[in-house]
Amino acid sequence: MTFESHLGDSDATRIDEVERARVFGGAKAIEFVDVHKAFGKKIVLDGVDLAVSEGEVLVLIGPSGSGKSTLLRCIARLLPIDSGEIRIGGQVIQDGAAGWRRRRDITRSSGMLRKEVGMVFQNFNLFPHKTACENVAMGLRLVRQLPKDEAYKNAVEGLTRIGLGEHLDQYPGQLSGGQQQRVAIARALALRPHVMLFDEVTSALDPELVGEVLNVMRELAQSGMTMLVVTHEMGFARDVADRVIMMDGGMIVEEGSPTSLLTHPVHARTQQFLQRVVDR
Amino acid sequence: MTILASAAYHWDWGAVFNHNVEKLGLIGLKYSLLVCALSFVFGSALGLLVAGLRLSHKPPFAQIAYIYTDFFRTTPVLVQLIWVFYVLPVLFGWTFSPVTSGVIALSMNAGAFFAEVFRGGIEAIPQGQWDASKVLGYRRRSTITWVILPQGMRNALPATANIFISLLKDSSLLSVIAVPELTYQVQTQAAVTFRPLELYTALAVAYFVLTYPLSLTSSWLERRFRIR
Repeated sequence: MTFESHLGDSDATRIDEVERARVFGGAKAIEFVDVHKAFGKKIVLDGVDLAVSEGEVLVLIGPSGSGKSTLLRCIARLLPIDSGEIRIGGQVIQDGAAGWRRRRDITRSSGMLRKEVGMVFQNFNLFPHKTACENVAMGLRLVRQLPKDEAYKNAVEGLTRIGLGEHLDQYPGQLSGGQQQRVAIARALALRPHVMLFDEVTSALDPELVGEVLNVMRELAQSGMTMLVVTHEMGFARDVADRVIMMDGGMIVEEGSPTSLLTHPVHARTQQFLQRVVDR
Repeated sequence: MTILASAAYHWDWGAVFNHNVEKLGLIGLKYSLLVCALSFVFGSALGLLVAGLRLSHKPPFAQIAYIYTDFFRTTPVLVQLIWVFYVLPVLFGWTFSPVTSGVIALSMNAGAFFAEVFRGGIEAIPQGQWDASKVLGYRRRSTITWVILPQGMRNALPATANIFISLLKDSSLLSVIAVPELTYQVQTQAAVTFRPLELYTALAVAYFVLTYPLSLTSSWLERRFRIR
């Protein structure tokens, strides 16, 4: 599989089945088993069970504070969980019941899996002292340990594909929000992850810049990438998601296909939430 | 009376602008700059280490670093200097030359300020930078080297220029332990020529000429590296 497969069209760009089997051996891409997480007394994940298949695009919706972002951050191992288990490709990456020794072993044995998960943040989190090109190339050098010229060649290709070929040497501060977020996506994709996490990636953008970022995500979804997307963009959810999950109070309240969940929500809290989003 | 007296004072700038004073002044300047530069280098290295210890939050080291910074920031440089020069030999039998004592004291003092400046610079970096590095799979060491320190140093840069200014001015204290720097030279000349008013006026001007460009540099750096 090459980097090209993540963006672009045609069948040739789909992640091929052999590669998938090599990485995850047919297991679920992401699994949550009764995951609990609290910040002090505030419960943010209250018994989450979830399974995401390879190539699935899952959109998470729900009011702020409902645990959507926390869920993504636990997959990215930015937050430890209190109990339950999280697996990537069948391999345990977080075990809430484990003692420190087991946690250490999990961290060691699943170190390689970190590369398999890419994450894009609401505030981009680009490195402000590095140009767009350097932002992308840095990970290639530090993590994939490519030689300098190859890393830069890859970075230029990645940025050009995403429509930023003219901004290679600009610093994040010189780019628009939409451009910055596309650089952040290119930076994550450069490491060839198999799962991409998007945490409200368009929420900090001016309305007219949202489209360019959503388009990139749309193409990525078409290329067969497994994606977990936290968003308030209901149009995107309707068009791109394979499945939509509604969260509230740290629990999955309702889930279903975008058409059924967004147009005929069963749960009262989902109806209420969607009503508010539409009225906005 | 005072007015009359000051009006009656006969200024003799010949006491300043003569071959002897110029020669000794240059020697003094050399010592001042040397002490200052050495203390800046050692102080910044020490400061970086101490800031690192404090930010590590590791039980004994972080506390030691905390005590160190607070102690050196809350006691006068002059006292620290005298302590290094007169007390260390008595306590531990370590005897240092005046210049070495001066550099040790000023480095230790500057180290405390550097530590605070570096710590502030690093703490000002948003958590998101750490998160992004972690998700990208950077090792902690790589994150610190390539993401955190470059930004932290940039944040700290304007304030380090101020530390250099302080060091240059504080180096005058070394005159009390007979380091032949600028102030010491002027003191001895004043004692010989009985012209302290002219000599100390010239000394003040000399320090101003040395430090003012640095202060301009500091505000330039502030503008240049303002967080975008």
